[in-house]
Amino acid sequence: MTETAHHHTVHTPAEATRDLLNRLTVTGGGLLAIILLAILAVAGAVRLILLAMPEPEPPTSWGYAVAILAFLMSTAQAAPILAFATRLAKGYWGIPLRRAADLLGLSGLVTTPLFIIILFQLPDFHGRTSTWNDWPYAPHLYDAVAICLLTITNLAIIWLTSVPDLAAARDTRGSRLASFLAMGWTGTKRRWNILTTGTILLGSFYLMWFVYVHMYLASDLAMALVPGWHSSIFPAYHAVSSLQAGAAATLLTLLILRRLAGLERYVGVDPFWGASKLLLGTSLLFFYFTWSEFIPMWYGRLPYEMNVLGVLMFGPFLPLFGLSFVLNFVLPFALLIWNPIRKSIMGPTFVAMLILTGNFIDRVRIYLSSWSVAGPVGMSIEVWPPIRPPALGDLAIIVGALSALMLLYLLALRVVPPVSLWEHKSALLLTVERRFIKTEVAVVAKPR
Amino acid sequence: MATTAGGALLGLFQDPVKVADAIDSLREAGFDGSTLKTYTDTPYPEGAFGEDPENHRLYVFPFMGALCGFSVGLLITIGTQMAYPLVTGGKPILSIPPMINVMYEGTMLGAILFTVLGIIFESRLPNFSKAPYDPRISEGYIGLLVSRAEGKADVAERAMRAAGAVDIVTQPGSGR
Amino acid sequence: MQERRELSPTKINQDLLRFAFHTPLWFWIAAIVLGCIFGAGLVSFILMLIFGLTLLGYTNIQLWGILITNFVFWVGISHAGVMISAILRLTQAEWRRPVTRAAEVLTVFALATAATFPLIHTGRPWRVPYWVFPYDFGRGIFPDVRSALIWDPSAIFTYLSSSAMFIYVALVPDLAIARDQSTGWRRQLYGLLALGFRGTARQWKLQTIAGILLSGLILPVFVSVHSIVSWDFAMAITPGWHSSTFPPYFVIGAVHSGVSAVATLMAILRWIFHLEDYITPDHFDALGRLLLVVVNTWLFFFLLDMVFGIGTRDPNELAIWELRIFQQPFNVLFPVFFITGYIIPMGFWVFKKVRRNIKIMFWTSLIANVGMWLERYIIIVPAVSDKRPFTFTWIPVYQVQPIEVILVLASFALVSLGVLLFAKFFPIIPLFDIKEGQVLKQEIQVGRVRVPGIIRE
Repeated sequence: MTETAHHHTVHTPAEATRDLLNRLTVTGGGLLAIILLAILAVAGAVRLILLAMPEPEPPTSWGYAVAILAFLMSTAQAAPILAFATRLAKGYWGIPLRRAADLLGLSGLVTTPLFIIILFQLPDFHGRTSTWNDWPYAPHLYDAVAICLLTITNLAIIWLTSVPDLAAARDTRGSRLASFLAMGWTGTKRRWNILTTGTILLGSFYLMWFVYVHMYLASDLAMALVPGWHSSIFPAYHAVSSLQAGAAATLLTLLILRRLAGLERYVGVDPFWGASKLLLGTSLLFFYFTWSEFIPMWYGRLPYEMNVLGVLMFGPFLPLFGLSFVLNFVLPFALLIWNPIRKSIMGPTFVAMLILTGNFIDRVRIYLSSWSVAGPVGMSIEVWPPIRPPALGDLAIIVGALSALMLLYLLALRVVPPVSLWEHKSALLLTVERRFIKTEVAVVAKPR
Repeated sequence: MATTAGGALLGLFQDPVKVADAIDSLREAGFDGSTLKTYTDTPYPEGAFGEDPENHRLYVFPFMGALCGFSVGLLITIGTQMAYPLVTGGKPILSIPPMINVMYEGTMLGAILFTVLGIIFESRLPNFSKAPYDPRISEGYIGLLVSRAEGKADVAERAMRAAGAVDIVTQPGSGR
Repeated sequence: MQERRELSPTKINQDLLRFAFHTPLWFWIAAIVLGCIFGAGLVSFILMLIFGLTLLGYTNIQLWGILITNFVFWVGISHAGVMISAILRLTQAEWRRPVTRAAEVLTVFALATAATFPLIHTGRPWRVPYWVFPYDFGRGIFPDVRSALIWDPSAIFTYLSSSAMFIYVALVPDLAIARDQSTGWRRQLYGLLALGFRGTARQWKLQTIAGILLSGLILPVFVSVHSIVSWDFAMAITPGWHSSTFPPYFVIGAVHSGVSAVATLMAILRWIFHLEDYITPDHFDALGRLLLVVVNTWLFFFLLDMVFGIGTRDPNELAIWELRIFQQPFNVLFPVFFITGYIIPMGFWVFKKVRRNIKIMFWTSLIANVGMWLERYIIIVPAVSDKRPFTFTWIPVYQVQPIEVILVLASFALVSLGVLLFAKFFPIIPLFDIKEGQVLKQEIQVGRVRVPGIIRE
């Protein structure tokens, strides 16, 4: 019986090790990109600090800053969940995208300071309808602790899932940084058991904590600011749309890495095909959660609920709502129901780009509108605020935040390979192609 | 060996590899792939016996059904609201959000119903034909039906027995 | 699946068709007992028709009580089928094989039973056609599609028909096997129902596609059904009900109770039919792990509902939550619900040893459903018993009447009887699915170990 490694053109672990670790070398283009990104990130940070200076700005000035915070938390910071899900389900199709997804968790280093700065721009929370019920130091202390814990978990996942690869870099390239981070790793059975169990435990904790943090992001930075907005589904909507956008961010990143880092031999159509089903499912869930939020408010016809619908969906922000709905649901659904589109590389990636655009527009819609009506407790909405176009300062913050994430990503790729080497090698062991009577089949093994 | 009125005969095998060998032999003997059919009691991976691929148009059915269901849902919701135009709960006569709920259910019901009909149709069922069949197939034997074997029945039988068939069946099918 | 058995097609046929072809004494005893309980329910219903709704515990504000709770409960149980069958088919989970048909059958009978309860609850079920079916009875009156109560029949009818068709399509190959293995009237019946299925490559290809396509189509229906049932409550502006999180909350609660019910059913099937070779501790382990995810997701939505309900600071909403948690009799029911619905299941299911213990899984899944029944009661009854600001203080607290208890027990009997009768005539474990699992089994040599694997096409 002839067997070949399934869907791989790199057949030996040694070849994969040499190939992937060679990609840690930064080319000239990489250095230029790093410098440019650093400049943009610093510019964004400077603008942010100026905005936060002692003179209080009206809440509406912070709308775009909160939107980019929510966008990063909904996309990059949600990406590690996709990696965790494929690890939990032992889905080998997900191996090529796991490192790309895990590294997007570095966005926590951008969102954490941004979140904390924004927390202190919130209007007075006493007496406000929120989940805190006037607890002392709420929401500032608890939200800050929550986001810090989320980021720490992010970093722990990145480190833990990279340890074997860092050890490989230590051994083959003599990298001192890799040696330090690998902490003397040797691939004993005990260490492998702890590593695999630890990644699942950390991933589970991360998922639960992510949902929890999104609950407070959505409720404290949006719902609590809009009089009469009592939607209990909104935090869940926020979390689910983040899972959708996280998968989208992972796919786009994976395509870019595949092209720029020459990973065609490691990243075939399988991760795109597998993730496309997730995109289809989460797009349907996007519609479901949007509908579930809308219809009780529409049906009840209570005045304060009609006001909320006007502020968020059908008033001046209708174009953003419509665009978000089309980009997050209509187009992804219409495209992904076709198998040839799902089973391709460009198809799911194009849909991912639509979703990322739609997610950004959606976050602008939610947070710009909320921060535009934010005021003292007990104030009712007299006028539905118009869409304020972004000023230069807003653009600086948006571009700066994105640049900071990309900068961190590129720096990380100097230390760890873009594809998880140890997981790739385990797949080489456990998936083979084999002849079955007269046809070729893939055999997938899942050890206990 | 006489064949059935339909000119068919059925070879019974115990080993799937021998079925593949028999199909090869029959092709070499001049039998077209479209006249060779396997009968199994469980699905095998597609192409396992080297048989011709099967094309179908099942995917048309859910779309047609969805369209029909959507139309019926639209008609029912618009029709009933227009026929008894009473404002309830402050909602307009033609209230689109509630209509969407009912139309969605109609669309899905239509899609599923037509899909089921499509599955039965594309599977070429109901099929109460008299082609040879043997109940041992449901005990793990694999049947290889050679339809349209008039004049070449002996050739077919020889090829199948040489490949390892344990029996050749020509009686009208009991598969009904 | 690590526990693998070598099962020949003949053995599979014998084991899984035995009950369809031979009738043991216990079947008659079980059928008679269940029939009697169902009969008691029927008598209760007839008494209700004669004497009216005064036999129930309703008051002039408390008009939705046990019967509607039971309706929502059974709709919840009906979510078992699609969760197990459709989602596990789409994810190609191997452990689904012995579980799918039982789950789907449970779905159909649970849903059909659920659908009877709004009819019973109306007290005058002959009036149902007037407000459900969209045709004019010569009075110019049509059902109001703007009402959530009209969305219900459309959703339940769609889900019921879809599930029934799904069962039938997947049953056809097994009907063919049953036809081949039987004689006499059984052969005629199975032959007719099998439509002449012979197991050609084309038919199997379409069966495989059917499984995936129908799963993909029925999943959105599954989500919509319990969402629409939840909107019976959420569309109202009643404090305690008017919550946008009700749809996913109800759906995940339904999945929790449905999958728990499947675990209960699988244990019963294994014991009474001696299916140790087909339903193994691995299956319960997998069900348990799925339930862990589900029960924690349920907790999230439960907390969302509670925390954001209380966070509104609306005195009417707070009054309902106070009633639900602190006032009699809910001050007892609420902790019982939480302990049985979450604490006990979660506390046991985290341990692998427990998940692989079939007796413990049976009891914990039953306890989980006790909790979920109470959950529906706690959602529904307090909100209508304290309709602020319109409450009349002289109305007594809703008290469950014996006839309502009998009707609830009769519903359990009806579902059990339905599943039993189905299993009597048709194989409750899919034969071709089990046989396919045997065909697709492979192993990969890694060093000295042969690791179990599976063919993926």
